[in-house]
Amino acid sequence: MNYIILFLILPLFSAFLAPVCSIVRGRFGKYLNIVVYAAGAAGGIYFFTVSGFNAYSVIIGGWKPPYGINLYLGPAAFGFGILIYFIAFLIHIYDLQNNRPAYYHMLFALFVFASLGMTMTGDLFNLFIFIEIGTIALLGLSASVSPGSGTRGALKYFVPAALVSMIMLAGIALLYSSLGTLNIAHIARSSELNGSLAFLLGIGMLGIFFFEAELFPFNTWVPDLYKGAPSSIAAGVAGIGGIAGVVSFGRVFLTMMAGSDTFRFARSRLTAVVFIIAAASIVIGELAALKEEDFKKVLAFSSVSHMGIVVLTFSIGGSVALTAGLFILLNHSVVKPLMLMTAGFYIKTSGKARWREMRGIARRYPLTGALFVVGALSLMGMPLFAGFWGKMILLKSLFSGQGSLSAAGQQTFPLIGAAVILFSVILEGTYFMRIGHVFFEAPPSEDIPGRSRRLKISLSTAAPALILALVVVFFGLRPGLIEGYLSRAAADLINTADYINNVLVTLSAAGGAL
Amino acid sequence: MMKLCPGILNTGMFGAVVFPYAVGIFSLIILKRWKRLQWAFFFLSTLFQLFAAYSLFRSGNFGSGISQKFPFALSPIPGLGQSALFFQFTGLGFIFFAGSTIVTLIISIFSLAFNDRDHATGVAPLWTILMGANAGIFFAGDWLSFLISWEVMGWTSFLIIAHGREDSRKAALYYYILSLIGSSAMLAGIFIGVSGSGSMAIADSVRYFSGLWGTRNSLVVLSTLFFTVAFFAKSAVFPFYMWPSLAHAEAPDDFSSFLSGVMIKYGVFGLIAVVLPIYRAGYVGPAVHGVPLYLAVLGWFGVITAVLGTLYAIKQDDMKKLMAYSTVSNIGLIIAALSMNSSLGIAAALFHTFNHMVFKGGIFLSLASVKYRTGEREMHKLGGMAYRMPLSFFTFLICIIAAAGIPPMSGFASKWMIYQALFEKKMLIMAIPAFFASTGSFLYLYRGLHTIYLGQLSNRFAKIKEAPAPMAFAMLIMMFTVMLGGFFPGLVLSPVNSIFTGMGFAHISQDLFSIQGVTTSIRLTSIGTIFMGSFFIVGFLYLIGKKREHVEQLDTYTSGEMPEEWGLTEEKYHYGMHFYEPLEVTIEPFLKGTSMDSLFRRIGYETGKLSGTVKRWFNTPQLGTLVLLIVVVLLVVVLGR
Amino acid sequence: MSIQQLFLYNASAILLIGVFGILTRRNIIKILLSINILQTGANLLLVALGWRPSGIAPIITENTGHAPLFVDPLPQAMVLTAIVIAFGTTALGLVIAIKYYMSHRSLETSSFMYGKTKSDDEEVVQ
Repeated sequence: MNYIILFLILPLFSAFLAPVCSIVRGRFGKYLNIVVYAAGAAGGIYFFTVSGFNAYSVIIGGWKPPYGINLYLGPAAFGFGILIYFIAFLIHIYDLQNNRPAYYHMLFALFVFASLGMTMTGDLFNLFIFIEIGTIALLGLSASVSPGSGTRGALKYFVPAALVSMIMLAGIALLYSSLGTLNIAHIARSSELNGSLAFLLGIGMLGIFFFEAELFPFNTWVPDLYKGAPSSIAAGVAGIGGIAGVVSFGRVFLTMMAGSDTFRFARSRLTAVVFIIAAASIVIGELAALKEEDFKKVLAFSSVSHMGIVVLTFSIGGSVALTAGLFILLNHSVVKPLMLMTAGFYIKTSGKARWREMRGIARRYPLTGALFVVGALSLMGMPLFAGFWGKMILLKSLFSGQGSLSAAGQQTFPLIGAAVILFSVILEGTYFMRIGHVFFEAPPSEDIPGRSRRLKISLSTAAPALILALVVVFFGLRPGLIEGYLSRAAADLINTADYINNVLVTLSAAGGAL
Repeated sequence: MMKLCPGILNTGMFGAVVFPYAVGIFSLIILKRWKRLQWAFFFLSTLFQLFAAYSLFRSGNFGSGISQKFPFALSPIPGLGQSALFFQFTGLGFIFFAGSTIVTLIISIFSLAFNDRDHATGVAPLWTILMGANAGIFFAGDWLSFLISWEVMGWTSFLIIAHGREDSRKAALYYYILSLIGSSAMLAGIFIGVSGSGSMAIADSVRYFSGLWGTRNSLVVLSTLFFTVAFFAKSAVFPFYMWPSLAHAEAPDDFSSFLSGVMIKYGVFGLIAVVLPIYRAGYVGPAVHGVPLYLAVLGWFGVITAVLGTLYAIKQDDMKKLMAYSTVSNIGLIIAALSMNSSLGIAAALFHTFNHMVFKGGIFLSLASVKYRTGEREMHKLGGMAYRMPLSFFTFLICIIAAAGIPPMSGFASKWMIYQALFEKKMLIMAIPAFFASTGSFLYLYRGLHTIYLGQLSNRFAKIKEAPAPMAFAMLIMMFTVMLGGFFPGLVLSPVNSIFTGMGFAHISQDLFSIQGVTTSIRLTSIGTIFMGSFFIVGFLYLIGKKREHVEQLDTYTSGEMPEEWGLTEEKYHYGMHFYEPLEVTIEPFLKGTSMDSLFRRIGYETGKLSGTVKRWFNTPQLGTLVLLIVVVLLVVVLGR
Repeated sequence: MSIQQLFLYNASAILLIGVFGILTRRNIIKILLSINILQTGANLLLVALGWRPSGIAPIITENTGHAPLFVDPLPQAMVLTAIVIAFGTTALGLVIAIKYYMSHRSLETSSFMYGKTKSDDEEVVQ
């Protein structure tokens, strides 16, 4: 039996077992999930190293692609899959303090499962299914706690999601009728599509990814969902959902559309669209965050901007820019859950949602405040933290005269991209440092309680945030450790020829595993 | 010996940079409960840096430009094309490092006593880390090390200036935004250089840019403009000259001396190290009296800064704001001198930089000790402090004599050299406002002295004591250093001179006691001796003179009326109030017209408004969104055809 | 116009009606209904594209010959999946609508999508 499949379906087990376990013995459901995620991460690391960092193609049901569905576990899917497990693990430990009902764990496990599936799948319709599962799980989670913003965010997510996913379905239908296949590798190898058809199909398929990746103009749901959902869910969306959206976007856009001949006539136009949307998201995200009063909404707008940066690198193309983009994605997926955890803690202790009203709270809880500052500095791209390296590599690739994938914007896109990113740094530094410092200021009424009254922050709440911060600092000081892997992940996404080869020829001949 | 040299250089630079980081992080995490101990560690770390500087001085030869690899090589980062961080031992960097370390050490002695229970600011760990970044900037050999140090310096200084208070945070944010704008501009310039030269070494980028003269002039000018923006923002040159009055004033009092003394010089270092060399070798383009046009414009910016700084300082009643503007003015003079791009100009700039580090540090320390004892920052509330705090008074006096450019103190020599540098390049029209700024500085400096230290001692402060011993000791050392620089200019100028070989300049002729300028030479030791002699004569006369009578402040009359009769109180009778009001009224229109502050605030305000608009977009119904989406798609489709 | 083309135009029309409904309706239930119409249209499109001329239903019985010409079975399988998904999301959407009604006492989108309500502004979600 192909044990690698467990890497994907492990959360599925816990999703169905959790409610059962909770009936049998109340607290068990919580711990089951944690164990599962840890196991998933460990198993992934094991398989990844055992495979010698090569790619796996898992063939489902014995039907070889392109007739059957396959999962493609390249370096991108493996590494980011392990990261998804890791983040889910930490979020659940953080969540131990709240008594979540059983359906919460089930839905979260489903969400993790769907996100993993999105990064790994090799078939377009399978991808669609995973996206839908993720949507359902996310909607349930976000509406579960807050009746006001939660349902608002859920509805604002649901309606556009339904629209864009149906557009994707229509796109899939047309694609299938033109090419006769839905396997990504097979599509990449197919004959060329007519220009305008390719362009329309491209837009149709990419629409849902823009939605998932919180990009303008599809991101009205982001601030309300971050605010209305519990912090752990928002952390899940930021960390796990972001990874899934971007990696699958990379697979569809870079491997299937940009790298292949199938979409050749529409490639530059599609790239232009991606670039414009990404650049607009960066600017809008930062501008909106500048004056935002609600703490979690600030983090939401910052996510929008960072997702824009990552997707911008996709439109520039080239392995250096892409490595930088994945670095920034990694940084964001680690840091944003960290900041949301600190946000959740501060909201809980202060009872307020606006950051101005939390002035001085870090004097009582300095560790959390320091963790927030660490996260902010990393997002800003300040040295000693991981975000710095991503920014450096990105700027170097933008200025190195390497063109964009789009023919029209060959020279201008990288420069506009650089200008936008440099502009975003200024704004981001402004509001993050302002917020971070407000936490440390003396409160308006001098009511800093004495040491005896300090509410102890429980280990389960602090430890995950601390671990995430340590990861950020570690990669800030030793970036080379991860950079090699990231460039391989980037190559995995860009190298269409290898992908096609691996899926259709080499690996299927070998029966799946290498 | 030579074989050992790389080793010692290596260890020296490595230690100078990394040790403070380690100590700072240790201090931050482990020593959280023992705040006094944090300051002790800060002092020890700076002492170690001084020791490193000394061993570097003994072992290296200046101008050698030895590059050392950072011992902890990073795992290779192919994306950046670099596998380790480089240090580079240049004479220029060493001078800045040595100067800043000496000044900081003196300040750290001061801080030991300053940060007691009532006045503690808790910024010691961050300041320690900042010292590591400080060394890193001066010793950086590749852009990555430079950027790391520059950015770390940025955010640590923000946190220190803000130090947990709301009004300080606003001031710090104004400074930090300008700093970020500078960083972004610098990143653009750096990566243009990196992609052009193909390597991350600073020297390679400079060489690349110099090589472009004649072929791609506009690119070089644009790139140096990016760098100039960054360095101007950091050194508060026009148009970025408004932030020191906020940041230096609101920062912790001991940190203000570091800010005005050391940190504001980073831009100067950057200009000399990065921008000036580009305009040296092989420059092809318009020039004014042999000075490249770009640099001449730079010089004019410097002179404008000097004038504006002086004018604003004259208006101030807050003593820290006054001194902050004085710093701005002095930096303007430094920029004017170094834009001449000659050995005399750069020597003048470096000499004045070092002098300014010391005398401005001393001024701020003295102000800090006054504030420590009295709690007041506005000058019209003080007065007569000399009677109770004589040591602070003397420090202040010596330092403002230096600041005003009056012999025998060091400021005279360096300002004289600045004028000589301007004369050498026949920039007489530039020299006129420089003269005005420099001599006008006497106006505000004397105001500070007179309103704080001289005059009538208020009853409130009749019982205050001199500053505590460590603070007094620190001020004493500062005072002594200022005098040393004034009497023996060669102490500073000899090292400066020897770095010129590495930079490809001719030497200036100077020795321990005198300097040779363009129009004439001055022998400072003689001047100093004459002045000290005159001082002793006057002092002798004072002592043998008749007994003085002490008069109460309100014991006076005019036109036959007593002050109380028309409602004067002690405070209102203080002549420090509206000291220069006629002058202020005259120059007010000019200042309003050139104010960059309102422009920047307007930009900030409009950006905020834009932010609100964007935010509101997120709340519009999805109807608008999706219509927008469809329109976008249709447009793209139509355009695509 | 062949029968396939008729179906295709039909499906597209239903699609567009659904999109129109989402964009213009203000009542949540009506929006959900429009979503359903949209999904139906997409499904129809899928099935219609799988039609082969003179193809028969893709079911193997004793009566099917040696190499019969089936219509493409893959879209039909996909449509089954898509219908199930539509069912699930609609159910979820209705539950959210109920929860929304319980807190906002209204089913109009104007109450949440046009600007913020006061209570929502002050709402604190941990």
